[in-house]
Amino acid sequence: MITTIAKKEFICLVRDGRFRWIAAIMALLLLTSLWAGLNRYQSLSDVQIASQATTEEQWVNQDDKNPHTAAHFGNYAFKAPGPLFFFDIGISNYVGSTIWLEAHKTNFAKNRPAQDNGGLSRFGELTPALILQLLVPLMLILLGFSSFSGERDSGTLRQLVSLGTGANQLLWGKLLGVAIAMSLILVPYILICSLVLSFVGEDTTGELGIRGWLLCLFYGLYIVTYLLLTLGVSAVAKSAKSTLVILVGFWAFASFIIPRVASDVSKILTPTLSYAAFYKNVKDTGWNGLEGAEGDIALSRNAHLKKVRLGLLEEYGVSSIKDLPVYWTGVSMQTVEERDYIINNKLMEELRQSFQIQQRQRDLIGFLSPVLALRSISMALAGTSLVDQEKFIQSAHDYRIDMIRDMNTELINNATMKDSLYVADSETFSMVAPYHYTAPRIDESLGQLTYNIVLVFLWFVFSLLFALRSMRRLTVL
Amino acid sequence: MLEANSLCKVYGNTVAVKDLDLKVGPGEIYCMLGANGAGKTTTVNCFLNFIEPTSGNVKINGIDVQKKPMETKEHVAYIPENVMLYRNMSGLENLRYFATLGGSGCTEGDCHDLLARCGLQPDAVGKDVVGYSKGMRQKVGIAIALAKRAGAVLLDEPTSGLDPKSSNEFSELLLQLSSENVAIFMVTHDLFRAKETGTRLGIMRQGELVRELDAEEVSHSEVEKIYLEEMKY
Repeated sequence: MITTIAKKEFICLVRDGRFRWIAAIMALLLLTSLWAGLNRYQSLSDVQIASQATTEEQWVNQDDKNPHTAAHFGNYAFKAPGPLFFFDIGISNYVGSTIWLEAHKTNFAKNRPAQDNGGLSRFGELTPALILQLLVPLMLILLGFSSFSGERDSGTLRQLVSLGTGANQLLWGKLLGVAIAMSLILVPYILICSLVLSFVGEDTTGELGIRGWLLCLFYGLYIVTYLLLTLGVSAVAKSAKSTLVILVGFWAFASFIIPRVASDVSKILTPTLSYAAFYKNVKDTGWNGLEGAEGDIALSRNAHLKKVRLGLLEEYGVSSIKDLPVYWTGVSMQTVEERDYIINNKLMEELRQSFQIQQRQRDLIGFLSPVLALRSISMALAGTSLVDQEKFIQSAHDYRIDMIRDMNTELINNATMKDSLYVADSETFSMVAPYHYTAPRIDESLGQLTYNIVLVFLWFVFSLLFALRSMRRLTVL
Repeated sequence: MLEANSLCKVYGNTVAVKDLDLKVGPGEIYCMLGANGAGKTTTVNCFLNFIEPTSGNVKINGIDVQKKPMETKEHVAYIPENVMLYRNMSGLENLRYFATLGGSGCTEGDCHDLLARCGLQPDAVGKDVVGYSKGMRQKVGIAIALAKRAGAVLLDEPTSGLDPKSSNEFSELLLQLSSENVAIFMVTHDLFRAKETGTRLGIMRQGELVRELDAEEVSHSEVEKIYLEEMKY
């Protein structure tokens, strides 16, 4: 009986001009977003890879110079997008994908597309994820809102129930029918995406397939959740018109209002420092020492340097830095770099924790909206989440400290206070290995998202129970 | 076969059906007459479990409708006043769909025969229902009810919208069903058709069954006279 109902639902839907229009618009939007996403991925990938190669070439082939001057000349870390960037750009537009690595200074990521875009970009880029998160639910609502209430309005529900058709049979049949109609659009789209994925970029982690399947699973659950909610509301609402009003209201509330509220509430509850304030804090702490810390970083920079200087003088049995067999300026610079690295990491960790608390607060509010939990999971699987950005920043900073250490060590070992004009060549510069970013593994990406994963399943269970309960309250008149 | 025992249905302060006792046996055609709002359709809705009685009960084939609604629906077919069908499916597709849900495995040939028997023009069978007149939809509705081969049939003004010829053919169908021992309960305003087809006639007024007549014992004019007299109150 369920298959009979499903077949009829499917036939009625595909013969309906409403479906044909919606399907055509949706297919067009999905293909456009795929094309736009691919373009975005390809151009960013090309730029980042080419820029990384150029910066490496410039670094190695720079003119012969003092290693510390070379450290000031600096290098760049470019984050090449992962293959699933085309599907979901996540927070990429707002966080930057390039970091300038230079002596004495820990820089933030730059090259944020949001800075260059107009105000319209605030509505989000056209990505397959955006279409699936926002427009597919709307499509489901438009296709399914009259499933029960429309049949009640037209009188066919009386016919069906008088024949002894059970409400649950109707629910499963209608669900299956709409799902099959939807799959006419989504299955070819998934196949196209899979095909695209097999040609785009390289699967450096070997996890691309699993990530793709998990995206299908979570988006599938999300779509079925919306479908069940649509059918449930349709069963209990007084008319098809009121069903549409309720569902579109919920969709707008869940898709636009709650994410905005969640974002603002988390910023109010857990304020974070601005870029300028954070940078000033790093600088001040570098000079004054880290309060509450143990060891030399608790000292002021001058006190710390004095301690190192006295230690060296004692170690080498000399009374003046001029008599040291090592280059004191190099030692002092490396000392400052090392302490600033620790201080920066410490303050960065505090900032990171604030961002994570904000994320958790947003996630907590997400129980009001199925899209919030899905959005975090989607970004994590696409490699465009906060976790990916944190890993990029940390790896760039680690790379920077290694690069500076190499240069300073070269300086310390080859220059003296009496003869500080040491000049290094490309052989020295090539000691610094090229920067390479490795994306987090899937367990790292999803590790912090247990709540979101549970929430997606909870929304599914809730919608299922709601639909089943609505069937018990189904009236035909 | 169809049984109402002290059936009452109250909506707020309005009594829709009051203490209705009724039995329609196999082969019997019971025609319920009455003005609009007399409680006729409410009675049908109780038999179909579309609404719950305030008190009393209704039974189909001896089974309490409220207690075992799904089971009772196996024994009853229903034709509403306005048969509503799926507009972008043909009459044949509608019939096959409803017949399958109703539990009768109608083949395409059976469906064609049924539609022909109900008087639907052969050239309309495969056309989308969106272009059907009310009468054509009624004919498909009758075919759906016949396809179920149920032991009882509930009809809520089934001839509404049918032309006289089709109404007459419909009456013949009912008589044929009656001869097959099907219990028929028909709500109608058509006194002539009720007298022609029915074996028993009931008149409801303000929720109460105020009169019952044996169709064979009264003439057309007597039915009309009695009906109008009852409606004066």
